[in-house]
Amino acid sequence: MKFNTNQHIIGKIYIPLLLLIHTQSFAQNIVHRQAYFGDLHLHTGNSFDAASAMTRTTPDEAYRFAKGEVIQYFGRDIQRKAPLDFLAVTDHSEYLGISRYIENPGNLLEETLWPSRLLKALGSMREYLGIFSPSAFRGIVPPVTDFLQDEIVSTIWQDQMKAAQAHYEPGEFTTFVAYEWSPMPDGAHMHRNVIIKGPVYPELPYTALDSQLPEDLWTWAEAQQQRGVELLLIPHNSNLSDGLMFALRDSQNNQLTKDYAERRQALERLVEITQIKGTSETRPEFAPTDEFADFELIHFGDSPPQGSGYIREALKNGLLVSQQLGVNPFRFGLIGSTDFHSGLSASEEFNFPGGLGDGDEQSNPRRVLEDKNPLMGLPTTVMSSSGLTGIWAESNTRESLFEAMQRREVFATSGTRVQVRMFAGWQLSLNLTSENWVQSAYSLGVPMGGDLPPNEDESLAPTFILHALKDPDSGNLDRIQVIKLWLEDGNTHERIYDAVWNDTRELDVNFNLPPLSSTVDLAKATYTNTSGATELLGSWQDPNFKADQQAVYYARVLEVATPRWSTYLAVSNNLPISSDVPKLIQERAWTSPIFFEPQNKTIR
Amino acid sequence: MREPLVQFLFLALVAFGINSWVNHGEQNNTKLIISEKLRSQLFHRYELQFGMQPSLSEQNRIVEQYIESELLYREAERLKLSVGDDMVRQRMIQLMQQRFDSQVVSDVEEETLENFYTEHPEYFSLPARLNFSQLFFRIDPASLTLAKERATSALSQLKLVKDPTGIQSDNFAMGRDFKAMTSVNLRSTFGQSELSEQLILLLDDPTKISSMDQDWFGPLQSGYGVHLLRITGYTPEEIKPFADIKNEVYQIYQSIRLRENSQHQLNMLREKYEIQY
Repeated sequence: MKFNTNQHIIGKIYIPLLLLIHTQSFAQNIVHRQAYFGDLHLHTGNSFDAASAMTRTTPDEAYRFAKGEVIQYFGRDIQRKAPLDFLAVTDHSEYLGISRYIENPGNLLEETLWPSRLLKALGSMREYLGIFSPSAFRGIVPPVTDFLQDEIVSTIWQDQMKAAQAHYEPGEFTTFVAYEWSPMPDGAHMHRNVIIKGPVYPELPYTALDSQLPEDLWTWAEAQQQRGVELLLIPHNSNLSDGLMFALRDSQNNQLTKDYAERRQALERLVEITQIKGTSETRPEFAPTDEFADFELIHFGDSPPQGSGYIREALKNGLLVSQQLGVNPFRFGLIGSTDFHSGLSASEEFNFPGGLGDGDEQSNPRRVLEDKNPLMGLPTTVMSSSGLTGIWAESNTRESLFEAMQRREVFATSGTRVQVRMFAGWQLSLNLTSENWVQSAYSLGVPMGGDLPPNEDESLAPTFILHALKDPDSGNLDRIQVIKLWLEDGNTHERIYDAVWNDTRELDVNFNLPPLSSTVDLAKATYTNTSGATELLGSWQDPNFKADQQAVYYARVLEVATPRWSTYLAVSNNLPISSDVPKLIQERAWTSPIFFEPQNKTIR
Repeated sequence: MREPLVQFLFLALVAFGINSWVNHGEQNNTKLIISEKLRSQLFHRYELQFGMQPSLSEQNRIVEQYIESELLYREAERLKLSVGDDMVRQRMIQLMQQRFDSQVVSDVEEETLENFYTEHPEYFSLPARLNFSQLFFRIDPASLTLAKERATSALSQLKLVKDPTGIQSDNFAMGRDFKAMTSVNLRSTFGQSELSEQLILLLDDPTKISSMDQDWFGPLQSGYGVHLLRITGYTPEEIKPFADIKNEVYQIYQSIRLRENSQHQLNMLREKYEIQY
């Protein structure tokens, strides 16, 4: 096992530019990619549930806020300290924008009872939501057909597109036309965001009122592709899917087929790992040896959480399915988003104004710290200030960002702007002190999201180059870990390796790195950044590699502990710190995985 | 109005009006008429929601539900339960705001927009930008003091030769040269730091840049470590051409009109009320 810090690299692996040309042909062109940060999941007042929670923010305001402008939220001026590079407003396609549409003079519903009924109900979230019959999303009752007239939906859809087009500034700020498809079979979140590259767009969005089945959404998406529409479907909140999101059955409870796996792999290339309603990486009960598994978890209902609602289990199950069918349906990259229903992508922990509308009035901090959130029915403090997506792209344009998402060269963060790179290769012994190490890594290895091709020399284990640069406004970096998932003797396994750190800590007998001592002063909600590193760079070689085993590797970067948003809010208002949630948080980033399949994979 | 009959009729009408006005609320609050029109509205709503006509028993249920909700609503109104309720108050404020906003016409002549653009260049400017090079000195695993010492020593060498080739510094993950950095870019890239703030001061007062003669200066601290810097270019603030940003001009013009109209309406309200402090 080889654990490298920067000093290790300088001391031991400093072999003068060992740039051996590998037998496989990797990217030969010089690649200059930088990390762009943004949010691909945000609701405005055009989502019926956000409107029920008194959110009035428009898509226009959402884009302006992301660009760094000041926007008012519950009477307070809110502004991101660091603006975003891109944003997709993803309002629910079900009854898209109706809440605002009925306020326009001359609207097609003016002569009906709906406007007065909606306006009258607006004070009561329950009544307001009731009008939209969310049970229609569960397939229980028919939908409100008045709201689904093509002419109405088309008008609103055009408005959503106009806002996205108006704020697109190639090179400076990228917007995507997007929406959320939101079925709720038996209350399970089976939602997907639909992100469209442009310039060709669907005439109307597809909704859960058209169908509750992901397979039908895929059929719609494939038909759109035939028309020249390029799009990505991004599942999210799998933690709230009752284990259905990555189930080993299709939505009709049939066994998975090769056709299913191929369609899913082609369309669902990314999955959201973290957001306001919880993180879906794993849980302590599924990963008892992972000391960092208990992170911003949210679970609804009485039944216990299901592994097939969590990403690490899905990645493992994907290997099993791949062995049986020859295709892996769960071959996806990872992104982080907010899913805020406030219209404001305000994911900075120290500057978090809440994200769910009613219940976020920080002028009444006691209510935020002590009450349940009306929309979620859980303590507001449980809500997470997560997350953001990082994209490694050549330029900040729709084309460049979309291509990067297609090749899964993306990563997720819990809301900070940590930059993380991961490359894998067979002879990836690079001079990491060289300014050009990234170029060499692109030439000789594959970046995150890619496939590591089999090597002719089966005795060789792959090497990973891992790099993380801290968010300049957040905590220092604690460590980079590699999470390896693999298939052996028909069973899946996982192991977490502490791979790169930059101080004098040594691994304990269980090969775990001891924690860094916290520098947080809880009484003041401050920290000093006197421990941890501003940057981590090192290499790691899989010590247990077997050339005949399928494997998936992803990296996780941990920051040092800093105060959680609920702690900042309590301390700044002289109130007790909430006991519903941890006082501190170790912000983090997750890379998209790198996938390895053996040369002669047995297909049963 | 001199005819007695006309005077009588006029007075009778006034008396009737007052009586109706006084008793209006009471009558309405205690009498609930389920008219045919109301029934058909309720059933129509059901039909719209469920795609079929309600059965007889459904009809009864719908009417009974309506009666109960209306009774609760009226009783709540009678008890003035809305008074002091934050949600209702917030909603009423919103409705007033919407009323104000609907008074502002959405069509605007292009000439009006162009005049607005000419009169308000401050809304349509591209911010000033800096190009610069930097040399980086890590603060970990060493220390801030050591990094500053290394940077100061490098700076004294750079006073003699401006060319940084051969000067000992550390790699910076985002590269050595930065182009077209606005104040927003600076804060995003280098954090809320001494480096960002010093460069923003230069953006605000570019006269200092020419006197710097591309000299290296520093050390300045960022969220990552310590840097030496050299300004290599400056682009002053520019105004975007009208033809490229008509839509943006419209948006800003309208938002100002909406704000002004709201303010005007509020001022009128202030005149209507006596506010005691």
